Amino acid sequence: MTTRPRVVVTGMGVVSAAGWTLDETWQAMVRGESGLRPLSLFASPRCGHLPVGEVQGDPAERSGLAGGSRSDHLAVWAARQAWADARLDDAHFGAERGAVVLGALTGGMMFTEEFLARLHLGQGADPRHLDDRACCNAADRIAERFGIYGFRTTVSNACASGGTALSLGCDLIEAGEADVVLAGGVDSLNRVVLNGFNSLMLVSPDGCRPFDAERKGMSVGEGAGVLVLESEEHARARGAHLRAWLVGRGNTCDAHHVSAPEPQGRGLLSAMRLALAEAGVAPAEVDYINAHGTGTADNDPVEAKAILALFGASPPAVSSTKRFFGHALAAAGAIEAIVTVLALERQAIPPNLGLRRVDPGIALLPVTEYRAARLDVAMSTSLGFGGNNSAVLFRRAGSREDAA
Amino acid sequence: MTPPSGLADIVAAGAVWPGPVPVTRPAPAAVAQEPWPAYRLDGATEQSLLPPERIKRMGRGQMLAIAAVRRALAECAPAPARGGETAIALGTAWAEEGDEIVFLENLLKLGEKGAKPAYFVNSVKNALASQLALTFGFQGENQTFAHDALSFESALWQGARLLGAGRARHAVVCGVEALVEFQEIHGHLLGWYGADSAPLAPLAEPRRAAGQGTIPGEGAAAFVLAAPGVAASPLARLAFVRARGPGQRAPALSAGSELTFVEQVVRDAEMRIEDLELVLLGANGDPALDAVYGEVAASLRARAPSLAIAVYRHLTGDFATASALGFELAVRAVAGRALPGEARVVLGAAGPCERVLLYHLTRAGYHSVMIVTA
Repeated sequence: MTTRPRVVVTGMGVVSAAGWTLDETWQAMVRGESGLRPLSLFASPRCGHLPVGEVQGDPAERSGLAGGSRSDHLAVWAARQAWADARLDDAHFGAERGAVVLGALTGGMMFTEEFLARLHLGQGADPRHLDDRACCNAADRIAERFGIYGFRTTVSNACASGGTALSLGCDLIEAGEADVVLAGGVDSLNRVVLNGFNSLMLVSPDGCRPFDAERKGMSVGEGAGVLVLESEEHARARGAHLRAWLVGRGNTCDAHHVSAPEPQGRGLLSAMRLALAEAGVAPAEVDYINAHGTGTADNDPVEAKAILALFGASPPAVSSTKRFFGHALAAAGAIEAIVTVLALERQAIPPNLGLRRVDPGIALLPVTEYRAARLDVAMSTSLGFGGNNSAVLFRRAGSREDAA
Repeated sequence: MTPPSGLADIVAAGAVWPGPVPVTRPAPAAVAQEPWPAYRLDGATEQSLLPPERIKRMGRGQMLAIAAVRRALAECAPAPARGGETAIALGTAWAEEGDEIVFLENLLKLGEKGAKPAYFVNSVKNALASQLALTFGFQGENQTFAHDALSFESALWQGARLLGAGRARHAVVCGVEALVEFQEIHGHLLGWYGADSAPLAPLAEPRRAAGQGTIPGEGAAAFVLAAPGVAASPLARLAFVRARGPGQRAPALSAGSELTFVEQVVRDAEMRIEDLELVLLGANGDPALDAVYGEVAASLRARAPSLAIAVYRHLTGDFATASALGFELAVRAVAGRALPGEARVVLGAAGPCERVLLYHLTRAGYHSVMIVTA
């Protein structure tokens, strides 16, 4: 019987409305400071008043990329942080042994929009930038930037993409396809996303309040999160700093509706069970769940039902951190996985910002204030259109897993 | 040394091929005056794929994917179980970009009140895979890969991996692309596509070498995979799959490095070129690509003179996941021990087929090798 290689997180990079770095992101949580700001990125009747999770500043100034879409810049900036954090410049792994797996949905949608507008106005549409509209460009740019020539792909599983990208990253290591995987997700704000969710009446006019009785919907956001996943053997051989163990994951599909979650949360429940089973972790061992918690009418009770069904009347500490950075779509699962790892490292629970009074129909009591806590095992969950569910389970580095 | 990636039995296959000859379609006046050719399903075929009430809110990509999976399942006994034991892995570069464009055009014409939710929901790339889950009740892992010409190959790898890891009993793997006018406009403006409506003749038609480009197309293919030993009589076996992206944007394509790539994959699959009977190329009439394909094919033949080289893109036209249709052809070739007649042999003579290698390369430098064996 072969033993499944263990997967460890050795580096992380993040950018969102909450900050440009890991530390800025965490400090926003310590301060309880939302990154939601009035929309300013593109012209819209909602500019100046609709709170969104817009990254403040130009990511092109950080990425070092020439050309490319906003998504490309966000992704490369997050990857640069993760690469440096993992000290991969000194790793000397073969180009074929590295992989890039990124979740992405919208890519360079703004290029499509610009092209269409010019075409309709008869202004001589220039097709050259259209290649940059593809959502796979971000992964290509990362691979190019770091000379990675192994497995490369883009996962597009709606808002569960970031979580499933991490799962695939584990697959690549477990199957022996890669020693080092840059895995995560990216998405940037654009008109299609804003108006699409708005047409479904899912956008909150005053900012998301996950699990709140008076929640009015989600806040669209943007950003990128990239984690460096390595086989334990590779990480230890190069003396890498181990940030956390990725010990389990579960992915399921509700097969219930194209956009709404299954009302009882059975799919998410199944995904969480799979993650625990893979890790050999009992529900009682889980100390914290970073919930998907979008703040929509449908998502929050479904997630609460699934959590209570699995953990019973005494669930672990739960919080949704969406009010810090909005819902960054394909990046959400990756950014929140990073927050989960930071929580394990810093032994503290980030608050469920914006929660004033818990929805009486939701029998969960999310953590509303930043607080220190002993955390050994923590989970990040994601749900997406199409009924996709993802659960990723981490164990603190320095816990018993290290000696296993 | 990379071990052979996830091996899997292919227990059923089904595909929706476009018409065997290109149709001419009116071009948008803002872009071209003359109609342009495309490999596309005709309207009658389209309507026959699914009941009208199902088609109502579906984009064409969803329709093509469902039709391909239905065809695969029709020959699959026992059928994959509904529920969590059956996974879906789908590759599509552009999914329902047509609906995304409609959504955007409505925004441009009508302002934000023009936003229609159905087009938005369809524009999310996993709408295809989630429709498959809804239609067939498969609740296992449901993955959509959207990475240009790596999309189908990624799905194939993941499908095999899920079986190998025991995370699914069956994996339904699909590659699909629907022809979208917006992409035709893009390709024509960049000079990728020609105006000549004669069917493509990859590696054989000198007119294409004069710079007339290729012809866009569409289609879908689906496969039911099972872990080795589960099915009593699989059609074929997925022996290896590897897909790689370029090291840089707009790479200079080199037959030498492509040959090295193919040879390395064959070695990693623990095979030799001489073990193969057939190589199926993704040559699509693009003169720059055909030149590389031609050199690689000739070099492979020099090592293994009994090797037959065939093409199939004269049946599909050009699209990112056309390799799924090539893969279906390879599966049929191995299952029937003979290359189906619609494929075109360009070098050597096709004999009994038990080991088929598919090789694909794109202008952007994405390349892949898949090996199908008996």
